[in-house]
This record gives sequence, structure tokens and C-alpha cells, in this order.
Amino acid sequence: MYCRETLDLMVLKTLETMGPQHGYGIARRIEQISEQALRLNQGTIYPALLRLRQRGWIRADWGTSENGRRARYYTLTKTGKAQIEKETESWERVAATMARFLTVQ
Amino acid sequence: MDEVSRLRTMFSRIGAMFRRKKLDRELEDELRAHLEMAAEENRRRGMNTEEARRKAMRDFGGVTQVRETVRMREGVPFVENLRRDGLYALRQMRKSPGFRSGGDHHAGAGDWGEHDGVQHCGCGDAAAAALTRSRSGWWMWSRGK
Repeated sequence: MYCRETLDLMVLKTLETMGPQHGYGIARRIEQISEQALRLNQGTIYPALLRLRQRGWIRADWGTSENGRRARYYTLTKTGKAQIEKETESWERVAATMARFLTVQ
Repeated sequence: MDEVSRLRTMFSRIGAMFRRKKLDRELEDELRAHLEMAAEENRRRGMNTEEARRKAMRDFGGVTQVRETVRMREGVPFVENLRRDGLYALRQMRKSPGFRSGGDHHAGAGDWGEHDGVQHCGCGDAAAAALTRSRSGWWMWSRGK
């Protein structure tokens, strides 16, 4: 199982890296990067994408895919990019704190 | 979720009330495109049409569940929830202007009854909240919702 927050951050990060991408591409990329550690049902990406859109961190536009198929592409917004930085900082603090705890005797 | 996001979310959902049909059609197009692209990739990997399609469905998970979750989130919840969330957001802003709520993610007000098949572990926000409240090097877990 995985957190809502974790999935959100992965989606944002994927868009930052890959540029505009459709839901299928994002889901596949997350599977690949996580090396299958996240056995996510790909469909769960859609509620996450909606949530991110509602918060203004990504926007959606209809476009044409590689093989001429109509698909909805998602793009990171400015506030979305700022959110990545905020959450990355937060994760680093958490990791550093846990590291201290795990090494203390 | 901070107040701005909460208000933005509230208004987004009011607008959705008038766009129900269009949204439904767009969602169907999007989900269909996903399954077709997945099946296509599976065929490229050597599966026959039927296997490719079935694997695509399996990897996707429950389509009905996803459709219902998205439609619920797009739609307008009970008026009471809107009012409650709006009032909550206003109260919060009045209480602490300029405050970016780091500690209130798990306050539990107006979670919209979200069921998206994903756990809300609160590890990110609970930990961040705990860190900002820690004193003299001691780190106290504050139990998230």
C-alpha cells in the first residue's frame, strides 16, 4: 500500500521530468521508476490526477498521442513546481530525522 | 490541505455541477484511451489481442470504481459539506492570517469522504507537523488522523 501524498508527489515529479504526459504514460513511468515496488492499479492515477488538477498543481489539455489517438495530457503548473520543492524539503527533513533516530543507541 | 486549496477545490466542484455530461464523456474517452494504449503496448510485447486486452484490464484495476471515484470528486457533495468546508477555511484564515497550514492536514474537517483506493497514511504531513512542534531536540509523534 502507498500514501495518497506519495502518489501525488510522484505524479508531479514525473511531469517535471517527462514534460506533458497522459495518464497512461504517467502510470507506466511510476511503475518503472519504482521498479515495480509500487504495484499500483493504474486506474488509481485518475483520482490522483483530478485531485492535483483541483489544487491547481497540474492542468489538463486534450491532445494527440504518438499514434494519432486523442488523449488528455497533463502539465505541471508553476504552483505545482513550487509544491514539489516544498514536499521534497519536507521529505528530506523526515529522512534526516529518522536517520538520527535509527543511529542513536 | 491548506485554505486556498480548499476554497479552490470548493469552487471547482460547483462549476462541475453544470458540466456533468461533458465530464462524463471526457472521462470515458480518457479511460478508453488508457486501456487501448496499454493493450497496444502488450501487443507490442508479443501478446495476442485477447491476452493484451485482458492484461490491460488487470493492470488498470476496477474501471467502475475509478469512474465512480472520479465522478464523486468532480461532483458536488451535499451542500452541507460545501458550507462546512467554506466556513472551516474562513475560520482558519481568520485565526492565523498568512499561515500555511502545515499542521492541520489531519484536522479531518471536510475530507469529502474520499475513497480512492489509496491509503492516507499522513506520514508526510504528520511528520512535518511533528517536526515543527518539536522542542529541545525531542521529537514527538503527533498522531495523524
